[in-house]
Amino acid sequence: MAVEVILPRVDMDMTSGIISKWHARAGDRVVRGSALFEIETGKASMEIDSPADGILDNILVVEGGSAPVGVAVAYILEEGETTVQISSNSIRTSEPVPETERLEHPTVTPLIPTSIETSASQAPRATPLARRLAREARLELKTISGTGPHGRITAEDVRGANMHPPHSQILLSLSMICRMDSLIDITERLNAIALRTPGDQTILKITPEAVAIKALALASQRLDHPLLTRASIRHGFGHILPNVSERSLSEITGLLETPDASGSGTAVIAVWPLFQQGIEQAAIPFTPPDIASLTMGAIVETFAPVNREPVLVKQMICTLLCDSRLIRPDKATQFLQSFRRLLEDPVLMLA
Amino acid sequence: MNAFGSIKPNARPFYQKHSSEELLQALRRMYLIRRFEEGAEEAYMRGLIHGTMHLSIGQEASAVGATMALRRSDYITSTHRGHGHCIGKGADPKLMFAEFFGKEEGYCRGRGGSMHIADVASGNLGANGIVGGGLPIAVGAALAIRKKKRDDVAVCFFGDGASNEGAFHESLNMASLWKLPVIFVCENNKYGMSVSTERSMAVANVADRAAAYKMPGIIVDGNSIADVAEAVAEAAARARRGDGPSLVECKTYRTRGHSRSDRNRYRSKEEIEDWKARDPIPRFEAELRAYGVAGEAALTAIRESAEAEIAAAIEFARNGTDPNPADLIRDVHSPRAA
Amino acid sequence: MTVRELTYAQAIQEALAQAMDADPDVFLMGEDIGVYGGAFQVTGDLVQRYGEERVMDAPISELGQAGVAVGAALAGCKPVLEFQFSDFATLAMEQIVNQAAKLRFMLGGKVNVPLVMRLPAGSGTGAAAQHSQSLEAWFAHVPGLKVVQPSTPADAKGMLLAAIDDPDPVMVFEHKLLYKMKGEVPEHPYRVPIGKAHVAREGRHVTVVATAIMVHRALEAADTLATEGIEAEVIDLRSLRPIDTDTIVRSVQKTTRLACVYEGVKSLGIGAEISARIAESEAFDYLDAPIMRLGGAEAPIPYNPTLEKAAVPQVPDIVTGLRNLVSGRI
Repeated sequence: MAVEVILPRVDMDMTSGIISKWHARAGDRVVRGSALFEIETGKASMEIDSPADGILDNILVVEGGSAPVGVAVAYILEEGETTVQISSNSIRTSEPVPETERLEHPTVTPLIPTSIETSASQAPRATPLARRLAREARLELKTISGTGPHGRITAEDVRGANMHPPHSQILLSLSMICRMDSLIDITERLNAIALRTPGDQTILKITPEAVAIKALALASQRLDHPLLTRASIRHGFGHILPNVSERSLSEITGLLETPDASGSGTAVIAVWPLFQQGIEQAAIPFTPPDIASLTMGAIVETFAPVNREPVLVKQMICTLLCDSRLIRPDKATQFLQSFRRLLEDPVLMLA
Repeated sequence: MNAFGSIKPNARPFYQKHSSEELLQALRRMYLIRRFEEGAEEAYMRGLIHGTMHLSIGQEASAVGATMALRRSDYITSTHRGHGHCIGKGADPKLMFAEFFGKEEGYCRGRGGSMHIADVASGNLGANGIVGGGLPIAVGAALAIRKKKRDDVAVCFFGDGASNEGAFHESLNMASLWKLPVIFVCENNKYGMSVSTERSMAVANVADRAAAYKMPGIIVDGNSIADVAEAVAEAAARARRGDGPSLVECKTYRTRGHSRSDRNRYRSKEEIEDWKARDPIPRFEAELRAYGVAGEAALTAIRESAEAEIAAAIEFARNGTDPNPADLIRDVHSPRAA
Repeated sequence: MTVRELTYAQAIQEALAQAMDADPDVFLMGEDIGVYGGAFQVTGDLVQRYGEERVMDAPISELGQAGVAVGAALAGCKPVLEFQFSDFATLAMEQIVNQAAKLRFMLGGKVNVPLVMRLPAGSGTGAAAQHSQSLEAWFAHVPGLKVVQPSTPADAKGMLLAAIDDPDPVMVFEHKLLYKMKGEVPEHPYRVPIGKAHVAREGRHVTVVATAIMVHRALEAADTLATEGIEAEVIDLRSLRPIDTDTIVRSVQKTTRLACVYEGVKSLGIGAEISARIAESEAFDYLDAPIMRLGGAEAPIPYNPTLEKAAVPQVPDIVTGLRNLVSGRI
């Protein structure tokens, strides 16, 4: 009996995966427990072992192709067994399958979406041509960022993504020096008020990190960019901070101290406020589907020329690291500039 | 001359002019119409056909009388109540029934049905589902006749209701203006569906309207085949001479309802019975006997042969071929078309 | 083969004359087409050349005229009926829609209705709401009719001759603003087949399907856009029924974008039909932008000249629309 090689679920919310590499070719002898292929989900890459001894046959999803969780991607034949009869439930193409098809019983669930409405609302916006090109290139639409109106993926976006497969980002790193005097001043003034009015729950202690994170959220929201406009903020490698732009500074301060207060969101920017750690400048990597990381180095006091005179100022170097295909250099620059304006003059956050 | 000797000298011109063969053929056609429609009604009630139908039972004299004056090359345009006109012009009831049953063998290959049965080859340019639809078409056919220098005519059958349509007035005006060979034969059966002529027409007679278009307007007893035939023959002769159109109004009555869904709420039983007593078929038979054209045996033979023909026609139709859905759009455009 | 410049109106007149020369069954009927020469001087002096029997002035009875033409066509003639304005075809709807279009079908394919109707259409003459409409899509909705809209003098002649040859009823919509347009027209009688679109300009960035005068406005817009590096492919649809879907599909597969430009009211019109055909076709998977429709306003045609212009697509509207479409702004 031929043994099905299925695409296993390796992550909680995984519904499909891309086969990034096959370690064996059709016709090769494989051994149970040895690495057979590698899959990539949105978050991780993992090696999958062979489920049986035998001859690998009928590879249904080629390298770079994707498949929903639970469907057969190949078969392992016993010695002497000829080609396997492929059940109609196994996948032949690598078309992305909507989440509604999360498979309870993978081998009997049809590949047709059960609810068109649900699948459509979850599917990314893309032109018919973009969809076809992605299908042909075995690219998942949700791994491609759309540059059209409403984030619509166009043929150009797919062609760009296809030239650079999703696991190889083209990283762009931009740094900028920001003056932190106003931000620190505001933080201290608010905290002084909080100290004087211990009974007032509306004025609580805040941190400069909270102010900086709110500035970041507003800067990205105010930008005209399909991804940044709706981006969420993740605290380091930790949790996504829910609806930062709508929260008060003390709420954000609270969120940063409560690791379980996890939100969800797409187009995530990982923020690293390293004000106290003594690191002056860093570009901390991020993992797709996150789209960028923003690292803020130590706040240092230094002499800077003001009206040709040395003045003691507080400054910080912030560094944006992003995939230049998702956020082009001009937008990244604009984003960073707008972030700096808010940091240097936090009163603009009220505008 | 006929089997019983000479036509009696007191007989009216209709009986003098037509041979007894022609007269008996006319009677036979009236019977064919009657039996065709009775057969159609029965088929409907048995659920053998799916559409509705408009029966002209009681109006056979105008259909046959008007077409008696015509040649095969003359045209007619007909109405939604057109089975009689079709048979009058010489159509084969077998092929009419096939159409009624929606069969490929039918005159319209099952695409027309009761309301559009027409034998184009016998000069019938179509039975029309639109009240007044055939009026200008008949004028156009007459225009073509004139352009082709033929001495044919076009008879346009229409009802009292159609005379209230704009198409009626436009058509009569153009026909008269251009002196075209058209005979407008109005079968005034007193009702446009349920509304009587008294309630729908500002004049008492459709023929009164002819004066507005400077053409003769003749009123005849539509249940007398002789009256109808004589008037139409004279109008046809006038048309063939190039003297232009005429309007012949046949006062008649349909003893059945407008269509199969009619519950006869708008007329009295007495009125219907009164008209049934004036049934054109027994009346014609009585005259044929009186003028010595046919005896009882001959009349019985005609009746029976008409019944047999209709029975055979129904059988033929029931065994006809159902159209293939793949041919649905076959006749929308001419195959010669670009 | 002589080719000279004629106006659109002259090209139609030449076609009518050549058709009458070739076939004694062809005759013309309409309002004021005799000594007056037609409201738009299309028939001109034809009555002097062919006589009143063949160039018939008819009473103002559009329904009657249409019915007479249907009857004459059934009985072996080839009438060419001129409606003074296409708006007046509404008076003849019964005969056009119930009779001309359906008789062949209802009679089991046993008759032909070789009837040609000529209909001056469109806005731009200050004639307001009842003399300026573009109703061609109404009629194109009816199986049994053929509906064409020639946009050049050469097509006006060739398509009219093809229509007169055609055994089925054909409606020829002539845009009033085109009557004075000049263009090269071959002298001999020739036919431009009904149901074939024409690629009036090749391009690779967007397919523009246009009808009648909009073909010329689209071409002008394409010239402007070419200076910006946008190359529009302009398809002159020419025939609404039947529609040449293949030509549009091939073009969209090349350009990946589609815009429909027409004068009739935008909603439920030609643009909807073409969009749907592309959405149903193999070209769907080639679309890289939403389909754009530029059509007439959802209003009757107004009298005031500024409003009248605003009611139908003008060159700047087309330029802006196509620019937005190609640059991914919609």
